[in-house]
Amino acid sequence: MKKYKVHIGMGLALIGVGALAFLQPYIDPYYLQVALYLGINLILALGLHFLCGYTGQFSLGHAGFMSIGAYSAAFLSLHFFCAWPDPIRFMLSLLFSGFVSGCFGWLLGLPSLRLKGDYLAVTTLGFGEIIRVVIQNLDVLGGARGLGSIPKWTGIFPVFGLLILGIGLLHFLISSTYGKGFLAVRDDEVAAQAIGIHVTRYKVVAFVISAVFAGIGGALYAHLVTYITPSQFGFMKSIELAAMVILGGTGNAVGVMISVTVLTVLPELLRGFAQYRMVVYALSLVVVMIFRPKMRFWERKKSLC
Amino acid sequence: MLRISHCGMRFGGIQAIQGLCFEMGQGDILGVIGPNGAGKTTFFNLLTGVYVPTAGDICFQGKVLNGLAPFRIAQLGIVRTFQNVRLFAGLSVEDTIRAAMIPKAPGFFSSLFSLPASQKSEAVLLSEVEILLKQLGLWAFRHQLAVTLTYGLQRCLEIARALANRPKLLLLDEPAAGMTPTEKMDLMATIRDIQKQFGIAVIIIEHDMRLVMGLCPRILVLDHGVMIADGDPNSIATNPHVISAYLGEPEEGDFDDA
Repeated sequence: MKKYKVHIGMGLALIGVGALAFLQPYIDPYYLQVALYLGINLILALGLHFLCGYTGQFSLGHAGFMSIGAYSAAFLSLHFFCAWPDPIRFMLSLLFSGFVSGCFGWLLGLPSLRLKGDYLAVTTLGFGEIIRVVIQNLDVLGGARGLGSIPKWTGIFPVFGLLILGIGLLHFLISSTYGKGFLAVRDDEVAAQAIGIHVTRYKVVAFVISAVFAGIGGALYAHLVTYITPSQFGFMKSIELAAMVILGGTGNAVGVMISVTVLTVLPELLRGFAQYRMVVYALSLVVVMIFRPKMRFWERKKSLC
Repeated sequence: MLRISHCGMRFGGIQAIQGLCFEMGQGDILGVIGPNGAGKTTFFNLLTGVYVPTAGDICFQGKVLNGLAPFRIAQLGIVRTFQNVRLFAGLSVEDTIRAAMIPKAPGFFSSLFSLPASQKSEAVLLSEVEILLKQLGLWAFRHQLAVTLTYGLQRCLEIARALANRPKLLLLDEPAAGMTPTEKMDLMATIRDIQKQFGIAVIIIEHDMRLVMGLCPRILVLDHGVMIADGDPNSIATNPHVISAYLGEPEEGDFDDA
């Protein structure tokens, strides 16, 4: 039984979230909205963190993956399987969004075989912008006007259920022998190759995983706000996600979860202060960069995922 | 097992290795010595696929290695350690060894869902890690980050990481560099032990003559990319070519040509 304790924990947590979902109609809509945003941001940030923190590849294009997921899911929900029951349609949309953005992750992962550090960051940034501009010019997807009247299916169970599933699977992966390869690739590619690790495959796999998380996060977002435009997935969104991951301390999943919570909830608490949010981001990033060596004490203990 | 025929490596105008020819069998220990810049590390880089030879062939167990990616060559059974220790900074000692076992570990999907089959083979791998770490005296440090070990132990961990790959040919690039005399003695014993126990072939690049002479029944000497001697330690020590390569020709007024 001990071997399956994480499996069992995941099952119990899912049941708990399912029970909580019955209370959804009685929760104040404002708090519910904030909680759902938080859950979606956690999914997005954990995916990005897998790429940056565990595999050492940086991406400034995650809003691009998010928009791919959001648009592909919304498109499917609006035009296909209309006769099927809603929960199944939502599930299909989520799967589809993960699949499509995973494919794009694979495509973008290919140049990452050659690029490192800053160059990779610039390439991913360009990718995100290209996606945004392409969608802006696709009339099928509503162009710059966006896609509206997407069914509002996102609730407590899909968001937090998927979050639990995501955390559990990443935990399995990172604590497995296979998963040590991501860390080895991050720390020293030459040494990793010398002991028989297929470095390029690991990098591409990391990109795909990260893109799947971002795509599903985007799909959940689309079915929460019910109206999406390309400008919602601009450069600032990518920066916001990167900021959450860097603030949490790369390589430290618990830290990332804390920083996502703070950066999502704080602007809500300080409503009047919200327009200075980007100032706070930038400032806190600079502070972290300066004091980062001292933050290592809560990095990389026995990790949760 | 390993056959190298007329192997050459040229970087632009520099001939780093020229016309290298030799064979070695299963379970041999071979020492490679030579002055600085003789091409010893280039030779290792050729063997492990970091460079592709510009001339000649490298044959390992009947397979030509020219042009194979480094990780493929590692999977075929040629694994190296590095002249400057290259460990994974963020990994513990145990995880470093586990990373080296990836080619034998369960694949992506069974790891992702932690399926029963993958848990079973993970348990087998973990027991192998335990045996290996205990044998090399690293078991007590298994939860420490690799980079927090002492220098001698880091060297040792590099060898352990290479062994975890189950190599058929182990390449050690200056394993004793920067070690204290006692650490060197330990290292010699360790290399002898693992060579006997795993029955693997070993090639050692080393500057410490006592270690090379004591450990290797056969020694190659490289100078300016050319093999100038090949034989047992005694014949190497008295070989006039070798002496002149290390000390220069005994001619007058020839000091600037060293």
